[in-house]
Amino acid sequence: MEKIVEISNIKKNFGNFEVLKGVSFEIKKGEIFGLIGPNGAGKTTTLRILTTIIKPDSGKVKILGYDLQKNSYQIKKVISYLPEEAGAYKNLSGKDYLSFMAEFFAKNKAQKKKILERGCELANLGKALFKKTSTYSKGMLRKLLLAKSLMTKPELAILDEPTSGLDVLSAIEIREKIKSFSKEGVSFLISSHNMLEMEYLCQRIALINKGEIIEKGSPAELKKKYQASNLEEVFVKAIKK
Amino acid sequence: MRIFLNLLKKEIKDLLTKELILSLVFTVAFFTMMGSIFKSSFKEIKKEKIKIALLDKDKTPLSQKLFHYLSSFKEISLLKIEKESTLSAIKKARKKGVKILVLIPQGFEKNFKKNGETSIEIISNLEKELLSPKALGPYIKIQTILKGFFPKKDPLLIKEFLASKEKILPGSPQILQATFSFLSFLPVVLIMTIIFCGSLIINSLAQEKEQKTLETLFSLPIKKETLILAKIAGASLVALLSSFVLIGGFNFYFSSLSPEKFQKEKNLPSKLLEALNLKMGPLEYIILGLSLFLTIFITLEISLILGIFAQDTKSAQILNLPLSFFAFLPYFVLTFLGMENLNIFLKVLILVLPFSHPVVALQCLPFHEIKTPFLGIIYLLFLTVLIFLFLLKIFESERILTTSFNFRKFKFFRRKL
Repeated sequence: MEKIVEISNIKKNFGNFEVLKGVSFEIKKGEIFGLIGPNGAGKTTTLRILTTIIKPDSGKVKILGYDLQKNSYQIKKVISYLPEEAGAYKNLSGKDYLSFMAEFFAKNKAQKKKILERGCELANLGKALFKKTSTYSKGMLRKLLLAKSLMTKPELAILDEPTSGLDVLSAIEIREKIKSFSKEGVSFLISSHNMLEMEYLCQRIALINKGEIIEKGSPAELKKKYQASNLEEVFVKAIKK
Repeated sequence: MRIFLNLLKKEIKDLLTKELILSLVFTVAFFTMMGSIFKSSFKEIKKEKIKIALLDKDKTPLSQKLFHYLSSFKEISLLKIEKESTLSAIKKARKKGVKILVLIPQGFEKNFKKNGETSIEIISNLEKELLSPKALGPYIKIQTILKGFFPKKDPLLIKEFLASKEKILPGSPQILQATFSFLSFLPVVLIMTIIFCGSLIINSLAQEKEQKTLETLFSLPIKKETLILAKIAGASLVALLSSFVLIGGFNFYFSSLSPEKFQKEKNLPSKLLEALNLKMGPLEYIILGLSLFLTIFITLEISLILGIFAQDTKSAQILNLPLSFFAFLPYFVLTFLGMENLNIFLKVLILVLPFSHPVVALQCLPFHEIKTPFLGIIYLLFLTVLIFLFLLKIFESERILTTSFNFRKFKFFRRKL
């Protein structure tokens, strides 16, 4: 299967603090890949590097064959990013926000219309889509932002804690959307510390702790290897190893 | 009470941020520095004698008495000019750095003896320093001294004139300053625009941080220079709109304050400017426009840099405060002290500040002095490019997402991610 992302040995320091100590993994086309780890493990830093927002100190990153250091603009055209604590412009309505975002990816008006229609359908906010985002609940906002991330049908969607703070029904709705887009060929890199959710969603996962990947594989393989009933147990056993 | 104190403690902690403390420290330092600079400059001005030239066309005992009367004042340095026409006397005085000519006309004594009244002329040399409020000091002083020549009653009529290189026209520094009142309000509008658009752009970046939209924006396929220019253009347009409103408001305010004869005859200032050859032509307007545009652009660039250190809209407003002080500094210094009265340190400081150049241009251009404003534009252009490149470097790095101001260590640092 075609590799969408290839990361090898990336390191990143903030001052004297070593955030990433040589992270390597790859993601295949249409795959949902999970990055699992506790707070401060380096998940968000890895995601920010992949979105070209921050630069690694060393190591190599290739997305769809584009080198991260040399072709950041091309990379941004084929990816989408949903940060953990993302917000939307409060003075815009949900639809205006999606329209604003669609403008950056569409090549012409017809394509923009198509992207926007998909975005509105994905957000599934009904009449609330025409209200200002400042009136949205956390769940509504997260749905809007996920719609923004998927409406362009990116080659790679990078989602940081996509269901964080959502009620069960909203979380299930979002998980289903991710699965259906994956079937359409969109690759996902999802970061979360909700290991049960990741077990349900991801085909493969990487466990990250203190800036290092400590284990990689499918949830079934890892459970078998560590003789654990779920990924939480796998993680506990893996960090003790 | 315990609950109240608990709440009070929290409120103070909330309001007394490191940005506020830093701004207060800056404000105190700024005013202390300004105070000492003004003090030393005013001392120097006070020490200066009032230089006047005297042309006696009457040559009578009364005119001689007036000469001796004026010579008796320690604060006056008197230059007596003999046997010259009025225009050449002014030229002679100008060469020796004397800006006021007191002319005792023929018939000075005769008129006094005949009618109990007589007249004297004060001719001021037309130059840009005359627009400074400071220029009025010696002028008023000499008028008071002359009035004191006839202590018992006031038979002396003082006729006032302004002298350009070619001609002498009725007028006084007061009338000239009233005519040029737009010069005093345009810098005010400029300062308000600087403060306003500065705060707009700092807030815009702070809002992006507060609303958590900056990270998403940075992950979009947008070139950093496009992002910077869009932010600057957005703030510029809003600032431009507000400037027009401000200029309209100020124009109405100043026209209501201008002398009554100006209000009755609307074209009088324009006529006076034309007669004195002080009307700006298209070239002067282009230079002034460029100077204003570049200064606003630089302000927005600096504000954008300051915005990087703002964590939220509250801290953004506080960060805008130092910028406001620096915008006010050249206006106060150049208007009330004048460039010629500054020491070398202050001169350099004023010329380094981009906000000074439109004020300097406004003072030079009506007198058709193009060289200084033109050099100012070259400097502003250089500064615009330099700051833009610096801004681009910051935007291309991750600092915009990770930088804030560490008050304890007093250095810029990056937050742990």
